[in-house]
Amino acid sequence: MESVKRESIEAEREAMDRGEAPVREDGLTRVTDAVRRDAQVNAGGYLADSIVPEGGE
Amino acid sequence: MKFRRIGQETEYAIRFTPLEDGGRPGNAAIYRALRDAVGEVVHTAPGSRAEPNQQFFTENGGAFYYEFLPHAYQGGLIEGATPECHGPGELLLYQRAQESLLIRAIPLAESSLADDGWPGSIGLIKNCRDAEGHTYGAQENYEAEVASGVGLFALRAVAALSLVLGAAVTLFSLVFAIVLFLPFFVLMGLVAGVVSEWDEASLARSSWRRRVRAGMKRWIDQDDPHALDEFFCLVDYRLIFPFMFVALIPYNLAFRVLAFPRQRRSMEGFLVSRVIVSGAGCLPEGGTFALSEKGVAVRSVSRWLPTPSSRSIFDNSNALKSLMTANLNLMLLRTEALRSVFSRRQRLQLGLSDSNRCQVAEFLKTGTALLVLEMAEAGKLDDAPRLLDPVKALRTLVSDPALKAGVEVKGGGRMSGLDLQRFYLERARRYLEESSSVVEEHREVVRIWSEVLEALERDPGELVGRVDWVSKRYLLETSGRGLSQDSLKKIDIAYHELGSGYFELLEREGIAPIMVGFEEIERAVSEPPSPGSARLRSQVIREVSFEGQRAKISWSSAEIGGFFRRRRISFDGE
Repeated sequence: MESVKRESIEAEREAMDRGEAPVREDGLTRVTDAVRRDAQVNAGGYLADSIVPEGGE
Repeated sequence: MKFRRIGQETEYAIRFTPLEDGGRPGNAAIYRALRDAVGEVVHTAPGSRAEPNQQFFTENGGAFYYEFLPHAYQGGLIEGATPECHGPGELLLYQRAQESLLIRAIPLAESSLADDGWPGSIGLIKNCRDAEGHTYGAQENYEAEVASGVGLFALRAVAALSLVLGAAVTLFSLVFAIVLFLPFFVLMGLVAGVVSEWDEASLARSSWRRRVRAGMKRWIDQDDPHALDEFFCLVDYRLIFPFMFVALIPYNLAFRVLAFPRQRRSMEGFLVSRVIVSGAGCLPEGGTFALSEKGVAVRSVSRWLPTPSSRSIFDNSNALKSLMTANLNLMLLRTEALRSVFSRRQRLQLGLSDSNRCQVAEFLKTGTALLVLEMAEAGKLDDAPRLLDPVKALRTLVSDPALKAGVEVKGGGRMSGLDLQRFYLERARRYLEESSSVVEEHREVVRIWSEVLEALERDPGELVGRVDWVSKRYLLETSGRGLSQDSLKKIDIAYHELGSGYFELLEREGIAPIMVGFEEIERAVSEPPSPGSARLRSQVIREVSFEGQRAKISWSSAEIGGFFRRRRISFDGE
């Protein structure tokens, strides 16, 4: 791997302690809102369209 | 560090939503549209299992199959196999390249299906369990020493006996099929001849004549040119497979007892507890969250039957398939497939493996397994904790998102999933300290493994975007609060959809760390890993594709040219 971007959990925690993590909080809120909206749209139809009659392998 | 080949097979469930109210094509037709679409993006060549699995290889050395059960031909899955890799980072890169290729193929396949009268949207779902609890998904493969000394001799002896037994069964099956089906096809031909003589007046008078003619018409005017494949697959499964299964019993039993004994003993506790790191999470029918999709379906430590209901921690189905392939090849007086059956180093196949979306989880899944396997073969884990009942322990751990439950270990005492993982982590640390030549990537694995275990103990919420079960549980508990069961289940499934799934939202927002970059992935879509057999395979695929030659590619070799001017290239020496 060349352009490895391995964000350390420790570094993220330190950033949060410095009050530098609003991006993550805002991002999470946007994600949860989007997922909540979409999950309510035609949920039964989505499940029916994605059934696999029997497992593979 | 030993030169060890590793690879991953991933099954993708196919979702098709018609644009207008109406029917949908079978999954076999969707697979064919995707296969052709992939061929528009990269160079491809047909595989040796071109029928009925429609296998093809891509220019990076990986392959795709249509994976189906013979009695559910139209309900199959897409299986992608990475090229042979040599480390967890490389495997993660080629797994993501496979997904990127499929994402690019989807709009092309949709367009092609729309032209055929099937307008709709395709979704490929990288998970292991659908809304009705059917299980499929990922398998990991690690090259490892299958046995040594007397064990290896005994395994080879049983394999040789099984080949003789298999040859007898194959001959018997052929005779059986001819005796059974020759009269059937003769009769069908006679009936077709009689039916063609019936005129409209006689049909108008007789309802049974109309029914017979309609039945014949269905047989003769098949819309799907592959309908006969479907029929013969069913015949093979119902009539031939039971005989073949009987022939495989001795080898199956010997493999369970003699193959990979040290690795299985040493890795059992690691694999059962690995679900706390690499489990994808799921919402089974009862509605209680579980850590692993495969974990809830596992029924045994080693597989008894090559059927979907017989899920296991260690899988031997590829070993049985290798023996069957060697057997069929021998009938055609070809011996190259024998190498994989009698080799000292064979494929250790793990069935307890979830399909990950989080790159950190996927990197750790194979990185930790590779390290533990290396320690097991070096004899550093002979005293690893043994579980009293591994399947019961797995059920306990997957049903406990609080990570507090303990499982019984041999010799007395209980250990939690975290205790077990910490035991292996500490051994890995010590192993790396004592080793004179350490691959740097192993240190990276240990560092991230340690961070993840600490976060799981402290506050699993820190791992949203890094560990799949944590991320999915977070979405179920926040986005899904107060929603219907169907909506919750949609979160469970749609989390895994390639390109447009809920996980992608976490990645786009920067919440899920990226370990392999976009440019690397784009290169890996068409470039093989190096060095190894995938590089030579890739070269051959490009050559035959440029020159328009007939070719059949397999993992070990390529056959190029027609029947009379065929040349064979082996990839084994690479």
